[in-house]
Amino acid sequence: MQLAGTNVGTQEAVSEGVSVEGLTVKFRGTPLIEGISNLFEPNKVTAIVGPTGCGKTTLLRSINRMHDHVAGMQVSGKVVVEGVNVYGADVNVREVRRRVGMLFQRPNPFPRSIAENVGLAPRAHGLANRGNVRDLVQEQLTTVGLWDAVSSRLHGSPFGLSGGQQQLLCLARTLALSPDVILLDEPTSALDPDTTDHIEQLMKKLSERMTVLIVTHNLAQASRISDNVLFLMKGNVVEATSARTFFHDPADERSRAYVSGRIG
Amino acid sequence: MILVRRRAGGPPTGPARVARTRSHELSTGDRVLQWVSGVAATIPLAGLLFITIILVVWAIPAIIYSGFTVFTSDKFFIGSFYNPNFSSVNGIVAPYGASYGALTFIVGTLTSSLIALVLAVPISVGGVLMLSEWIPRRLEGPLSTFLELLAGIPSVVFGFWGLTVFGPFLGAHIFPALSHLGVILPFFKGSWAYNGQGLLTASLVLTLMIIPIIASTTRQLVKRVPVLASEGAMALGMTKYEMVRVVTIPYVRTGIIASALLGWGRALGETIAVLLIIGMANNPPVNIYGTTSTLASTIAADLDSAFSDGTGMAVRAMAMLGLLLLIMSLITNLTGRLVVRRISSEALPVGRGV
Ligand SMILES: Nc1ncnc2c1ncn2[C@@H]1O[C@H](COP(=O)(O)OP(=O)(O)OP(=O)(O)O)[C@@H](O)[C@H]1O
Ligand SMILES: [Mg+2]
Repeated sequence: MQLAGTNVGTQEAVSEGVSVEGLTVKFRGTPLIEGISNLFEPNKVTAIVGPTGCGKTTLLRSINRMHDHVAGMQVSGKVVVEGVNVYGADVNVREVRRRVGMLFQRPNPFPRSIAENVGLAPRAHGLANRGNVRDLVQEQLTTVGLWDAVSSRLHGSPFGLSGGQQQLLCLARTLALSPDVILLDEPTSALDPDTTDHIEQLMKKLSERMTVLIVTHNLAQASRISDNVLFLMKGNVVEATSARTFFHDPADERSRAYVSGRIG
Repeated sequence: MILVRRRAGGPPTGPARVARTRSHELSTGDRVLQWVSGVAATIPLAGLLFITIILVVWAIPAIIYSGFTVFTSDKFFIGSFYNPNFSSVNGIVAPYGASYGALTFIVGTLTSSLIALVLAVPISVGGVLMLSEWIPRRLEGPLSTFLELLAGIPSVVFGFWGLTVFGPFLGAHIFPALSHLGVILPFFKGSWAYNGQGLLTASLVLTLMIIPIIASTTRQLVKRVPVLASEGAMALGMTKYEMVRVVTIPYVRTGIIASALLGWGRALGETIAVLLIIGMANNPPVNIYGTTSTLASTIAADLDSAFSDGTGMAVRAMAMLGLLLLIMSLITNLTGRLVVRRISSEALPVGRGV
């Protein structure tokens, strides 16, 4: 129960992972996700896969409460992050989102300078101050491998960067809050192979200190980087298992079909 | 289709350019459309040019007569028409004692419109942001209806209301309180007309008149901010206030500047409401409540009697005031365009560090 803690810098915090219990998400009464339960293991990469429209994005967005802002979305059940149900009564949503970072399918940098993109959120959360924010910005940009490319244009617009660089900037922006969990929704689907490869390496490395959930349509990618796989169809879990099992010896016939490319 | 694309103002794309070189392949319908749109695009420009030329031609004698005193003198007097003597300056003959210093009207026009602008921008932008982020969707419909209604109120009605209701109310209840500000800001000191007629009342009514212009543009701009961008801020645990500051405002800033300049142009040229409310005094305002007059309201009020001037100079002086107003409007308009182009060309606004 550390939802009020601040541990910038000390990123070795042991994560408890994310546990979803009886999660149902409805849109205007129609269920999009029907009572899913699953444990996303700490310090592991879990790939969420499944045919289009099966509820992958919906599941991901319920973990950091992004549905709060969509009229008509009702969430019930539990999502436990670090021992705290994020839908509990007196939970601080701001702190939940500090702990649970999210990277979107397409890069969405703020229309502010490159440095501000990384530094504004930590400043807002009181994790950095005027004095040390520059160090934080440099540290995060270095982590994602963007520092050399942008160090001379920190005060320039992020929209001059390539798509891949923008996505890395968004990753740095998320990491700057030192989250315990990071949610990625097809983060590389719009990127070139080199940046994709780079982000995959980063995911692997980041999973040493956080829980990583990645939605992907790219099964090769899932098999390259994931430790576990959660396979969804029509808002339900079909199979939740280790990546090795899922790709080589899945229990469910539908998983077999999906892996071999017959569905999805 | 190609024509439509070209008219939309985008750079000529590949196919469009090809089509232009092969214009003989256009159908008759296309060619007619091309011709009509060409003419339609030229009409406003030709109209503006025509009006400017007419005004300049009419104003020239008054300009020669006055020289620089147009800008430096606040003595505007169309002369004694029935005096047998005449005033003659630089070879131009005008009624006895005629003087066409426009300083009063320039000051009146600029101050009333600027006060209105300074008040209307934060009210409209702040209001729209509040409404879009904090107030339930249900209120959006009624609000936009209200804005449209506000925009549709005829200015003479605004003037009437300002003169009979709003002005007296301000004079009785608000100005006495405001005058305490005189300790810090001297121009809030002093007296005002019992019915509130004067600069501040006129500016406040102008504020109401330009709020719909700025607010409706802002509303459309805010709606066009990409959801993905605002979700990025929310996913970082930012509050709505922070999201507005970090994402929404940078996205809408250019458009707001443009609409503010549009509103300013409207305030500069507003005639009848200002005429009824500002007091039409022939002098610059003595304080923020003071009576004065503007270029537009003076033309409206005095043009009729100007025609009784046997030398014709009074009408020419009016043309000169009209020319000044036109120049001011053009300057705000062009500056607006320049500002917008400069801001939007530097990719996107960017601050100085964190
Ligand atoms: N904001 C929304 N309003 C209404 N329906 C929605 C909304 N978001 C998602 N849905 C519906 O929920 C279902 C699951 O959508 P979701 O985006 O989670 O699928 P997905 O698995 O991420 O698909 P994809 O692989 O195509 O991204 C779909 O049927 C979709 O139409
Ligand atoms: Mg999706």
